[in-house]
Amino acid sequence: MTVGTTTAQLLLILGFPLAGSALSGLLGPRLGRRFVNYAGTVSILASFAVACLMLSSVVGAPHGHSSISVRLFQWLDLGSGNLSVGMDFTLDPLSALMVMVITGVGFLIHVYSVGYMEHDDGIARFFSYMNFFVFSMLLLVLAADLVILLIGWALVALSSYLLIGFWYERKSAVLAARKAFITQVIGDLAMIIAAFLIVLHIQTLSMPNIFARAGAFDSGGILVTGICALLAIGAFAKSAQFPLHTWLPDAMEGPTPVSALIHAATMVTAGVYLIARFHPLFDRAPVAQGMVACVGIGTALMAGVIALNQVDIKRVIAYSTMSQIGLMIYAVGIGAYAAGMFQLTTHAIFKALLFLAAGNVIHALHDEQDIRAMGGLAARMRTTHLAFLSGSLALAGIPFFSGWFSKENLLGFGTVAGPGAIPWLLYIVGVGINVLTGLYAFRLWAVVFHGEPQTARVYAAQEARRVMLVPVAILGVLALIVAWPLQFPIPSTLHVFSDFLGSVVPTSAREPGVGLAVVALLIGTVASLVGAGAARQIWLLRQPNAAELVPRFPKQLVVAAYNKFYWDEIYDAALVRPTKAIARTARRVIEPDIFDGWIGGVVDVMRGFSIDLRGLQTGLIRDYASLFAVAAVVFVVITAVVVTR
Amino acid sequence: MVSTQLFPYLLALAGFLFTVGAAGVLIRRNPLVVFMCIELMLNAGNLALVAYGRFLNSEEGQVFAFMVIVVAAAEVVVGLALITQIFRIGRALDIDDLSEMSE
Repeated sequence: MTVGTTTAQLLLILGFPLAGSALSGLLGPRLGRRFVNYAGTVSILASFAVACLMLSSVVGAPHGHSSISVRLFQWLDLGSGNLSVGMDFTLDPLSALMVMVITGVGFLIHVYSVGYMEHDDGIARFFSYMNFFVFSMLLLVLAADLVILLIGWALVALSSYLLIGFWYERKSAVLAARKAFITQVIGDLAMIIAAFLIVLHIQTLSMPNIFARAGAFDSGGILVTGICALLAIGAFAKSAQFPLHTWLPDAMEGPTPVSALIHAATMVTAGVYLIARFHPLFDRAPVAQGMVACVGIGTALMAGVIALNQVDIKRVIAYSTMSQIGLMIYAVGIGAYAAGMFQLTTHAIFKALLFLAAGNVIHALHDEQDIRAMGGLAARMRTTHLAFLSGSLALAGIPFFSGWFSKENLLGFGTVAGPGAIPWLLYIVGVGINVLTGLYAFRLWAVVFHGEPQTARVYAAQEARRVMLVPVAILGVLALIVAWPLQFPIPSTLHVFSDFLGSVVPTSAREPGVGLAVVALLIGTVASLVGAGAARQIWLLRQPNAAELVPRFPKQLVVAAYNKFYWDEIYDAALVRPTKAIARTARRVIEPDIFDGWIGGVVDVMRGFSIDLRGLQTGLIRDYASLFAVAAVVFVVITAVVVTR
Repeated sequence: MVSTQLFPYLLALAGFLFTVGAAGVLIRRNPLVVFMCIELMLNAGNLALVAYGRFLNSEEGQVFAFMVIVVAAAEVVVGLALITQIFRIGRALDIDDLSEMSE
């Protein structure tokens, strides 16, 4: 495969969504809904097709040649060629995997959107934003230069902002969009500082060069730890990890396909991709890695508890996303990069599936999102129910669904994460999260689809149209089978996936032995089954009052988790209100007394001076001539004095 | 030389004439008289220029005096024309009264 065709293909992959965005946005309002539906979906399908072509070239390449780099042009040249920014792109197995997920899952979600947004007048705007998001995300994962990556990083935040606030006449949507964007900017800032530190030390922004010169950093040194910590903050902001997690649940204000594409499958997993991509640096910063692992598992635990105590169907899934991404972050934190990416891939499918199926339910119930108003939908929406069940099984990690393969594979690495008590503690919490995941996944499934219908709307609910049902069904089948040919949770059995990524992210040196892996697999599976079984006992068989969130949990914990552990309130009290108070004080005290004061003073002085000066203009030639004569005499006298001295 | 001995007297005469002219400009209200006083000042200047030229043995003083005479002639043309016009439109010839330009 020559470089020329590669360039063309790369441009096509990036160009189709961008063109789709421009077409929908510029011509859509004039040409109407049918045109937008086709332009929006076909552009992603075309991108997906080209991506498949490119994937085949990456897969078929001999080892060591699976990475294709393309420089479109030199963009900036600073400091006589020492530091340059090029439009560089690279297609290696890692980015190819991301491209496949983005365009593949993205296409199904776009098709689904055609049905979901059927009655919305902003369809052209919607598809324009969605295509633009796909373009930005592809830019992010294909970038081979840190600057280009940062551009993609910022553009996905922008598309996310536009799409969360898509229904801009709702105040809550606008506020949520603003919150998400501000949080993203905190992460962007950290990433830019990290980029400056990298330039300061190794004088390059090109990612292959950064990785090649990673040896210039002292292993475990303060500089590389700082850089990795800053990159991790960027990843946390993007991936909704503690303490930058509060924007994700609010982001559910956007249309459901947006939640599926951006806030479940692709954008929020960019943090995992970033850390996996920068693994040469992270491998040299064990402290940063430890921080990443702890934050990941901590977020996973917290989000799991919150998910169990929410009543909004989309928020439950949002918190479950946060929890699952926490697990991925944990995986890349302990150096199990391939395992993290595997979880990312399966999660993209089953979480998009859950969101789309939830979208069907919301659509059928006319925008009802409270699960206490649902129940008994299984008989009325059979296909959606089956797909949702498939997604829940995969999410909970029930054997032989895709989530089981990836999650047990991931947790297996936790057993060999390192010496000491903390890695073991993290692993045990990870097993606990398996129980939690089973609980909240099947609580949601049981409360939504089983039991007595809670409102009259449920009786009128009808199965979704085919355009919405087919993507859900495809994803439902994929959630079951996608992991089968790829990877088995026991080492040295089936490892197509980690081999595929092997040239980019080396398989962890600390791989659990077969015996340990089997034990870990059994423990993890039992934990998942216990969680799922307990959920079945509680919510399916005993059917407690739906208004009661989690029976037998301590009341305080339930209330605290229902209120999302008060993080919004804490941030409000710690950051928002002091800022507002400072601003108000400045407005009341500093502005009128200090700024207006001295500016007004200057004006007054000048005015008084000019009033005095104005008195000299009498209009009488005599006065002027007198002044002139006096000045001349003074001048002559001064000159005479100076000269004679 | 006669002129060398005369020089201080010539300068004193020039200064006297200039002072008389300046005083006239400042005191008198009739524009015609003010005008003549200005001429007096200019000629006092001319006298000083010529005296210096003689004293320093240089022609430049005389040449400059000619320049002043030319400028004075031009000024007389413009000034007298203005005064005549003001008189024609019936205004009193009083420079304190002719001060509308200040407003």
